[in-house]
Amino acid sequence: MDRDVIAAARLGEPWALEAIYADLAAPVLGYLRGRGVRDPEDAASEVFVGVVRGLERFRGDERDFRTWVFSIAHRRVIDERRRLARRREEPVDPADLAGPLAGARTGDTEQEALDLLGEGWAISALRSLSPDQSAVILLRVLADLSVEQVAAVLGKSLGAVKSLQRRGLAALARNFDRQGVS
Amino acid sequence: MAHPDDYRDEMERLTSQDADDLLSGGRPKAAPARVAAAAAGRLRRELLVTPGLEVSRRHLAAMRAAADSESLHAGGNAMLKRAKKRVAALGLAATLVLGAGIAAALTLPDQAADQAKENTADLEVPKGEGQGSQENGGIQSETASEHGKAVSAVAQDDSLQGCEKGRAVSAIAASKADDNRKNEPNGSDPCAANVGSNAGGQGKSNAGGQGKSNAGGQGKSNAGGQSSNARGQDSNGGGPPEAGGAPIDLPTPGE
Repeated sequence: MDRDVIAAARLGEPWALEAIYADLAAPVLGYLRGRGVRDPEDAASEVFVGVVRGLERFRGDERDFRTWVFSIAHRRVIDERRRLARRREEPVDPADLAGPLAGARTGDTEQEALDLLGEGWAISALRSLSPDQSAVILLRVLADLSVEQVAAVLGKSLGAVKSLQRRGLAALARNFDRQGVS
Repeated sequence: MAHPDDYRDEMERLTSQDADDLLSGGRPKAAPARVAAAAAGRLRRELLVTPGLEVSRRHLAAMRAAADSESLHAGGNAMLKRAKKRVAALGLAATLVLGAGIAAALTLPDQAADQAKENTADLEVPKGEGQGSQENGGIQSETASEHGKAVSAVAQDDSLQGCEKGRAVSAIAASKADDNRKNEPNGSDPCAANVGSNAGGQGKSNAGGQGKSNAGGQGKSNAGGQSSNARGQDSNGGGPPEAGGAPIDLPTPGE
């Protein structure tokens, strides 16, 4: 992310906002999805709105910017977990369930099966990890953050992050090999 | 077929350095690291998906709206800050003007001014030696100055010599003292004042100390009972007459 883009985004330039979104939308959405957020698209929207609103206060370079954006995404995950912990049961209208399920069907049965299998493996594999391992792996793999940046996002030491990434990766590889996913 | 524990051991051989290398984009050579790299690649392919067009439009619209509201908010904040500064400045100016106006124009009410004069008239402010208070002391010092001049004039008069001059100076110097004695309410004789107060029948000194209330008839120590009366009587009877002033005939309890 270029400094000029950040400066222009501060002024609310649409092209700069689009550039930020194009660069970070996929990893942010993937991070939220991988962390098990219920509605990752809405959550991603909140994250980017938070980025825009916080741009005035942001200080740092391109590297810091990426770290900062994922800090916002991480906080969003934590907030949802706290919210869900407070409210264990949340009734859902059956009519709301019909929409997403119907929309997921594209008519291409093979592709649907692959999608379900693919997302199923990734999500299930991440669920086998601890929340911290999952966060470290996702930030390293999807967000391309360094160990130092991940430590800054999660508020952990470098040693802790390295340990978490090694154990998380080993568990992921075991799961990957056991399921025969290639 | 390998034992699951062997596989586990194999996976556990993934070193921290291997993990760091493969997550940093390196190509690992060790078997555990290769599997881990494949898993990470699969994770990346599955989760790193660009949002659909509709979702992207919605997100961008939300971002633009946030940017607009943020700029409006920033502008509103600036206007609010300016308005606050103006109000604060006006308030300060009004306070200063009002305070100055009150201090300059407003006088104390007549009653308050009179009360203040009364309160301050009796105050004795300590002054240096030879200095009186503002009013009385000023008059006195003026009079004393005139008296001193008069005494000085007589003293410097060459027409008189020797004893006669001394008497004249003494007479004029003493005239001031006589005037002062005349001006005092009880005269200058301290003994006269003592006699007057004793004759006033306060009873304190008449009783010779012990029988003060009985002697004076004020009844102060009547509450003390018979013993007090008896003691007073005894002390009165035994007390020296000069200490009690004029002898007073007291009724004895038996009478």
